[in-house]
Amino acid sequence: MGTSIDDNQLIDQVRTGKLTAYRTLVERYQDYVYTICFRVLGNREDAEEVAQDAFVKAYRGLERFQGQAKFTTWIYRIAMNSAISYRRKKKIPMETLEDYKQFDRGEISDMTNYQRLEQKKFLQIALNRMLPDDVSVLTLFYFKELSMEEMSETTGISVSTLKVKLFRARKRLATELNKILDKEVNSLI
Amino acid sequence: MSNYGEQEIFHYLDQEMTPEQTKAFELALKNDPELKSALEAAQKSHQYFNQNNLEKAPEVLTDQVIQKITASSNKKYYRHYGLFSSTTFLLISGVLTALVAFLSLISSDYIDWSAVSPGIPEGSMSYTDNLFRGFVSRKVINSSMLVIYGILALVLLDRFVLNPLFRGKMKQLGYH
Repeated sequence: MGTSIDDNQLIDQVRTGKLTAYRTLVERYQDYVYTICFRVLGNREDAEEVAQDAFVKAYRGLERFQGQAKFTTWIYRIAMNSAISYRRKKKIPMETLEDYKQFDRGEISDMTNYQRLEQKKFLQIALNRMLPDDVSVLTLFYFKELSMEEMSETTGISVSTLKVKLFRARKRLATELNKILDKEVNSLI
Repeated sequence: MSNYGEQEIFHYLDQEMTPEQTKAFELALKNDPELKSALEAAQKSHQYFNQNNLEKAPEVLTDQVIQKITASSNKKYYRHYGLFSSTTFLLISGVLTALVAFLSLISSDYIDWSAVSPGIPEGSMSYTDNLFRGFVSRKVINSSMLVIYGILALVLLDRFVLNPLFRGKMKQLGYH
């Protein structure tokens, strides 16, 4: 992430009433926040709505943000908690194989894109079968920008418990993905 | 599955093994088909997630966030100043209504002026002694007009003082 102005400097500007500084922060982290929401919710419309609300909540709570932690851990935590509670409250329709097929038709332009979309499709279907807490831990882990301590701060789980949780989640994901891929191969034969 | 478990498989994938451990693990892989297939399964999910770790957010997301923030700020303003205007209006109209009611009571001769005019015999109180007599209808009209002017003043205050003030503040805060 190429950051020309430091997050904390932008936050200081937002506190003086400069909304354009907050726009920069949103633009900087929108993909990350949206990804967390989408992975947990498995549905693009809900993910968009929850991601928006997470940013609005963060803006309103900016006075409480101490600046000791990174802005990313804070906004990710808000996004994660919002997405998990949204999924618990509502029965969200997860994207099905059919949704992906429609999505594929519009987007495939070459073989690389096709392979990438296939991967995305199988990955999200596997994630849809998992617990939201495990999905969020995996999503944060694969961002590859947070240390275990920062992930622990974001999730509110101790580092040792987090390591166990992450290991189990990765194992579960490998199993689910394997099942899906086997099924897909069998359907082609 | 040799001496290696799933924990070691993930350590291998995350490149958390020392060169010696990696060498030994890769050697075990050649002789252990079960370990190999477990690694392949873990490798696949690892690769899929690594290559698709970030989704592209909709392009309108930032604009929508800013719109929501601006809208909520507007609501706050209207709540605050709306409350102020309503209270002021109620106070002023209350006072004016009381005044109109009081003047109406005087005009209807409900007030016994002899009670508040000690020393003057009851019989000597005539209509002409009552200073309010004769002006009543005009006073009632004047008071009613005062209420209307009050409302008008409040509207003008909101339109020409509060609103421009609010717009200036919004610009200062960088709102669009």
